[in-house]
Amino acid sequence: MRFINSRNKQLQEDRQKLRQLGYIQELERSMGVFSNFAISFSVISVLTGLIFLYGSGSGGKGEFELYIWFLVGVFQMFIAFSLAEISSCYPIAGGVYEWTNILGNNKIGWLNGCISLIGWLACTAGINFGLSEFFLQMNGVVTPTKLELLVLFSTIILIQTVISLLGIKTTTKVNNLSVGIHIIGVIAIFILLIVFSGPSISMERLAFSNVMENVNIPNTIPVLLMAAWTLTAFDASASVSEECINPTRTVPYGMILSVLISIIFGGILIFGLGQGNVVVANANYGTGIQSLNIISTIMGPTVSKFVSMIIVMAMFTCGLAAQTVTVRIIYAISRNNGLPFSKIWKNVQKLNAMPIYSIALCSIFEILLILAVLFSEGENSLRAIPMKTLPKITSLSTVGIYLSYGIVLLCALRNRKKIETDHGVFSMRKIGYGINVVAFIWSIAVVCTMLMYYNTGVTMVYVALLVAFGLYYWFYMKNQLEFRYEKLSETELLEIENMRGID
Amino acid sequence: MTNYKHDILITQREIDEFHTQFGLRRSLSGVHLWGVGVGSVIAGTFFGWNYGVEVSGAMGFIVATLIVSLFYIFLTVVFSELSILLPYAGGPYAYGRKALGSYLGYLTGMATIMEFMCAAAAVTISISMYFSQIYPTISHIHVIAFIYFLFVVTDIIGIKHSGIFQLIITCFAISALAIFFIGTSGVLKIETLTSQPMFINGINGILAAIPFAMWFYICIEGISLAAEETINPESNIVYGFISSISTVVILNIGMLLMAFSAVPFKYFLNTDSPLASILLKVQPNDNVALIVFIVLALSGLLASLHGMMNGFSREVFSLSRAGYLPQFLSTLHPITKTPYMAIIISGLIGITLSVVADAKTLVFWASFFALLMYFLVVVSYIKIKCKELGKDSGIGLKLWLGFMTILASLLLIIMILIFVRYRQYVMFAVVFFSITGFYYFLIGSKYIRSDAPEEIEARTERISIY
Repeated sequence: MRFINSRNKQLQEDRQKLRQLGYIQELERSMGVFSNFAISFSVISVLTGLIFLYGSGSGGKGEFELYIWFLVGVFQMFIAFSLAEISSCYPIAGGVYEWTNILGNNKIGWLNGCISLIGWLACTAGINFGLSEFFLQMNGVVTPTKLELLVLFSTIILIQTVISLLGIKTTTKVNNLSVGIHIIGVIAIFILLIVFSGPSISMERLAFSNVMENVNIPNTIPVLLMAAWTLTAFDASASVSEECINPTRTVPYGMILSVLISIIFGGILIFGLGQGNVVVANANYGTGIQSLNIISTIMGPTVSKFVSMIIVMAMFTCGLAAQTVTVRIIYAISRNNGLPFSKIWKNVQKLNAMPIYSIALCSIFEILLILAVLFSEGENSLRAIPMKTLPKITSLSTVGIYLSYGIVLLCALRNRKKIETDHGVFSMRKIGYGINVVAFIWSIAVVCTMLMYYNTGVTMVYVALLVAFGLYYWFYMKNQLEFRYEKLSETELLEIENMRGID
Repeated sequence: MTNYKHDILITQREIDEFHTQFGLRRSLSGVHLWGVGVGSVIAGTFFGWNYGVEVSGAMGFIVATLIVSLFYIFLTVVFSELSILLPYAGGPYAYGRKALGSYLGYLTGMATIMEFMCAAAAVTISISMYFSQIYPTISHIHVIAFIYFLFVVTDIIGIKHSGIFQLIITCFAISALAIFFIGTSGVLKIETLTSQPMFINGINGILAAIPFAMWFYICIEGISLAAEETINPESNIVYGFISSISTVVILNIGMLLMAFSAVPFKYFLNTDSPLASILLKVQPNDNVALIVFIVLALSGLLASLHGMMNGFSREVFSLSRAGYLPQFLSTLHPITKTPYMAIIISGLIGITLSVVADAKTLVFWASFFALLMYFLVVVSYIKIKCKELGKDSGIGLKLWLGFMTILASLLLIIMILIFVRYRQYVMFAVVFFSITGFYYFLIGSKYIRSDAPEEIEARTERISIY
């Protein structure tokens, strides 16, 4: 009884805080620290990112993947701390977009929202696309055609949409389960690879001199992409703030914990994969997903199939979590009429507290994006075999998300005073400035590297999008944003809530 | 100590005091109960069933398994209803006591204890056999003693740790079965199934195979023994029973079909590890699969052992709490609130059993005591439900009760027929009944505590208002 009463009181406080920030509570609050951690951990998903992109540039004697992983990990912790601080001040869905609105001005906010949306759409699409490739390779099709990939991709998106439509509680349960799947999967792969990959563990690979021999630009950048893509997208914690209880406390801890634990487990996985790589280094290099080759060679046909099933489950939940977040971002932008036809996208159904039209929009856009990337170069027939699609999509998403982080960090740097006045439960006071600076420099560095290196199809897609957005902005949004939409006051919001019958 | 003969009014305060002094801590949820249920019975899938194929042939054994699965589904319904109605640590003892009186309640409890103990001993023997496949030099007795010691300590530490531990180990066991399925999926052929002797002894064969088919599902009532430790028993116990019986039925029948379709059954007639033999035959070059399978299968067997030890220690605790067994067995550890004396003593008896007897005998005995206990529980169920029969109750309830009566009589017939077939075990049954009977009538019945929850329940009439 006491627990239920205090929970209700907490829900009321959260709703009031949201009203102060200018929005009505339309989604359902039910997540705690662990569920928040679970969603962010599922989106980061070491099993997804590392398995997809491992081995796309390495080889030889040095084990520099591990070093780059920890290096990227340290810098990502800086970003995580900065974003956690900001999220503790303003716990709203649509995370990065809203913060840029508050800390900067409307126009930059809208731009950032669009960039973030593109990044997240590409992230979700990339995860599901990689899952299709992995699934096909697991069942023997090492070089799939575009048609097969598209069909499988659409099926996966359909299943994820259906699960999303069942409500946030189902998604939460699936994500909580996925934490267990990830942890067990990583440990199982690690133990199996170490035990069965040969007589001894070669620790000399980790020696620094060996590592420095192998470091040069073409080798390092794909590894950087792998680490950067995997360890990003933790503003998922912030995007579900309106569904967390006591988000000022829940969201920052969920975010930081997820990054920290992902770094640890990612390191374990890379170490194991590295040991396996030594054994298979000379055989079938370059065809298909390298880590799957390692696993099936070392573990034999039966156990590798079993492990692959676990990985498929982990990837599926990762895609589901990513879709959840993308939908929240669409919902947040359309709440402020930022997208065409916003009236449709911002509708939240009373039945399951989900914005179902946004979910549909998200799914359709993922398919369109994949189509665009698939057909942007090479032959255009459906029977063709696409090459290196995955790095393209992942670099697109990395650029999008990191750019959005960069912009919000810049606004935070310029508006430090506001953060310190509005600070929430998690606040870093004076050190926060330094951490912000480092985080900002790091995100801009990653963006520039990605843009310089992966410059074919990706840049064309980006240019096309920029042109589209530019036009939309010039003819339509500029006028909208000029007249700053006054946030409704608290009493007006209360009236609306009473009218709608929300208690 | 209140005497059973003087009917003293027991107030709520005294019940609460009793509960704080003798109660167990509530910490399990629905998923934990699924883990307890599946984990307890999963050992039956890994060994023990193959002793019954010899007498009944391939198809005969599958038919026996189907019959037993059907029976267990009804039994699950019975048990879940009874567990919700009487959520006490005594489980079957509480049901028997409420419906059939002191002596039969005690007998039900003792049958449960013997069933769990024999099953636990059989599983321990098979664990030591599996273990000796990897490390042949360690003696069996050391392995057995070490395993019992490990689980006694885990149980004494606390049920919550045991709950999560059980869940993880159960998942390992299911993974072992998944590896078995994937490993044999390449060589399945219907011809292998149909080309073997199908019904060796006809109906007699099927009847003779029933104890070994029952071994698949034995100890699923471990869930009801954990009833006093679950949060919100009404919904969680139903969820636990239904989810675990469906999982196990699907896994068992799938496993049987695959095992028979993969290799002719003469390869695994008398081994202690049939699944490992099949895997070895089907994928002889896949070392990794075999080692991983054995390691995970060991954890499956350990999960069952853990569930069984949990079960019989709770049963001993509740019988002793009510006075039928010596009082010292129900002392609770002051900090962790677990019945440590019951756990230790039962463990010692279990070790003795596993050293003295062999696996086939123990499997048979576990099944027989289980049959006895199910018979008594179904009869108690019928009696308890009959009180709800009034003028207004529909045809459904009457049909259901009639069906249950038929079920109970079938059980009785099967028990008698089994003894006709396995005549060599009759003497042991006589010994069991005489020892328990003597203990009860000479010592136990004088010391029954009437403030134990099961006793209080047995004396209250429920008034239902429609």
